[in-house]
Amino acid sequence: MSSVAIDGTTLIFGSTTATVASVHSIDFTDSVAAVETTNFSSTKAQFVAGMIEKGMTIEIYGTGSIDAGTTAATSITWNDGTSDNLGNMLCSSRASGGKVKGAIVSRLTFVGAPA
Amino acid sequence: MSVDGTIQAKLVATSAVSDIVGTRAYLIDAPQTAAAPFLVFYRGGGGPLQTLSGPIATSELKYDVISVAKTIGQARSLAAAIAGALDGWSDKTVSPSIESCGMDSQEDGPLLLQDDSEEGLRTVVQTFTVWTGS
Repeated sequence: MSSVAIDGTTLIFGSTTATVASVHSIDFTDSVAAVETTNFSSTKAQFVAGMIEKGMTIEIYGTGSIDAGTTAATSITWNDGTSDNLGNMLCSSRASGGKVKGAIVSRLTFVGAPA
Repeated sequence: MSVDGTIQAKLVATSAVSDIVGTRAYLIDAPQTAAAPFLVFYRGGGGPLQTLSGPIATSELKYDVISVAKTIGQARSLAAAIAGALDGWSDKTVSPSIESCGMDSQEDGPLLLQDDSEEGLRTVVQTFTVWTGS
């Protein structure tokens, strides 16, 4: 069974699945650059697909153990039964903090890395 | 021990509190014959932190503590003693651990009437945020 409820979605980052078990938010983007090819014979603006760019931002409780600069194979298995294989991703930043009477929350940003 | 039990033990073990109420620190319900002053506490909300894979061992809980006395002055004095016991308290030796406890608010509460008394009892209501661990 599956649903569009986000709960139940799992994230794998290399072999550190356990360290990202406290994920409570995932934002994944899969975008492509639109390269304009409009010319004098065009009847409208036109574009072709350029480079694909994949990015991901997650929030976890605690500081976790993924440091900025870490690269690993990454995939997301969504609770709706689909999955996204992001390939190698680089953790480009980690920001940790919180406020009084709150939880420690870390926001990690990932960008594409060489295979 | 449950979080309820840990809080109750902390209150009773704090001399500033027990000097006023003795062991009359009741969870949820006080006996109809309870002699004032006394205190009642209960979990008013909260729960474990939720992640995409389910709850984790850390919980954020809300506790209400009601100080009951014959005068508002006595009730406020009891509330001050309770704040001294719980506000800023942590105890990582118990299970589940008390990671932190902080007071959110304090206000004078409604008059409390007992069946066999024509005079009401005064109350002060405090709310605390309690973080617990494993």
